[in-house]
Amino acid sequence: MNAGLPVLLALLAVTDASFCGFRVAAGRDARIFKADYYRAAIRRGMGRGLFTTALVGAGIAGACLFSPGLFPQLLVCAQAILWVLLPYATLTLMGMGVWAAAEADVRTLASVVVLGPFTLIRPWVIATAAVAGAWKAPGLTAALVTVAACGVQLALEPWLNAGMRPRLPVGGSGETVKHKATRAS
Amino acid sequence: MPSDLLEISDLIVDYDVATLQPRPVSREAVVARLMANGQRSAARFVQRLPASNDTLDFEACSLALLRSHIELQRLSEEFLQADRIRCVLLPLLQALRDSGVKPPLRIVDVGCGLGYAVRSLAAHGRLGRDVEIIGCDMNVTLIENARRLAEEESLSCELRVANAFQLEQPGHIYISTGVLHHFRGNDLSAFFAGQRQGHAFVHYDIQHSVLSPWGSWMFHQARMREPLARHDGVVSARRAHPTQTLLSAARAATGFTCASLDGARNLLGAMLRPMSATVGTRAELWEPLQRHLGPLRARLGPTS
Repeated sequence: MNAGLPVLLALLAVTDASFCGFRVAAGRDARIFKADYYRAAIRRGMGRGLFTTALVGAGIAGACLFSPGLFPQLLVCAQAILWVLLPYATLTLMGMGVWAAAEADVRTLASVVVLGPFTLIRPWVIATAAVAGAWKAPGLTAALVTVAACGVQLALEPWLNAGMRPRLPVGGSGETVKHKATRAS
Repeated sequence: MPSDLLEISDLIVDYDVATLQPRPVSREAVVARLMANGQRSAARFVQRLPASNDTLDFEACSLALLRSHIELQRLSEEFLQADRIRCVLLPLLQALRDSGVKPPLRIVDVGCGLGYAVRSLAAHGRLGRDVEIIGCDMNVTLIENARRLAEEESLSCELRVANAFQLEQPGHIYISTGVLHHFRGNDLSAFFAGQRQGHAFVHYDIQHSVLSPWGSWMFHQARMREPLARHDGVVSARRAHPTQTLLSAARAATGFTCASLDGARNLLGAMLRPMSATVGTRAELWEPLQRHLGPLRARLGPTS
């Protein structure tokens, strides 16, 4: 159980990062066939998620080396965080599953009821998890580490978003196209 | 009654309908109009758009529209809009073939924007070799980019800067997505009247429902980044026409047999189907269409 909680949190963080990668790419490429584009975007999100998770994990491991009592305190925080994140993650993944497998109307319902609203509340869910974790923290250091880790996760999407531009079609420079309006009547 | 809020995209670019050339747009005039309509945030947005001597920079406005349309495509993809259109087009095309209409059967997308529906139908439609798909829009930037996208993916469709109702070869079926709410009163009648030359039409627009503006706000906040798209998305939902208004206008202007498809009868219906269609055909095509619709037939509303 002790090892399971951090691993579960890391898994959630990387999964969330993958979704972030997809989201920042979506709506920026108007091609019809773009599975490769989305796969690359998800990989990019996952890569950065792995990087930040490893960084946070290494930081926490280092802190625990210097302060042996910190790890059990962090487990208390992790438990509180999971009470907030797990229902959110479970419902999101169920929504994704339904969207991927079902017919058009049910897919739309999954989008309307789960995927759309849950994207909107994601920052608030992470913030709530941070508050819950800090609230339950037995010590100040554990509370600070909890808030910092959640902050890193929140910063991930803006980081992925930075520098992203709409992909204009080949030959499109973003400059206005010359007016060669051919009247078809 | 639908709201009379204004959409920024309707105001910042203007075209001469006869020549299709862009006309200069006064920034101050647009700002004043939005302010007079009580749309302060929209007015502030327009105020920030680049202009020289009070004339809005056409390139900047077109680019903002282009970015918004690219984002908008993401919503169409999420709500499987092209699939929904295809499901109606297949039986409609079969009805046309049965009634002996000579090929090629032309489907014309009115106000196609970046041509998502046209390109998607060309890519996945399996509509038949005897079908031509043509997208028309008056916005040069959108059509040029739509053409590049189609060329890039080798899609067999045509995209024209043109008035869809003045083509040399008129369409057999007119389609559109998210266009109807742009028209009011006589303009709505004129929009349908332009299709008398065709045999049928399928026009999808945002479902008129108390939920629509809320749903539209949520999805535009969650999925869109462009302020223009976020603003116009919500306004579009508030401007959506009730089913009866569309059917009356369509029937009066074309004389076709018309019905709504997926018109919501309750809130669950509005959540399941954020878009509904106004479908119309010449009287003699209605019965064959119903025959070919299969299970979709149950989703047709009463005819008018």
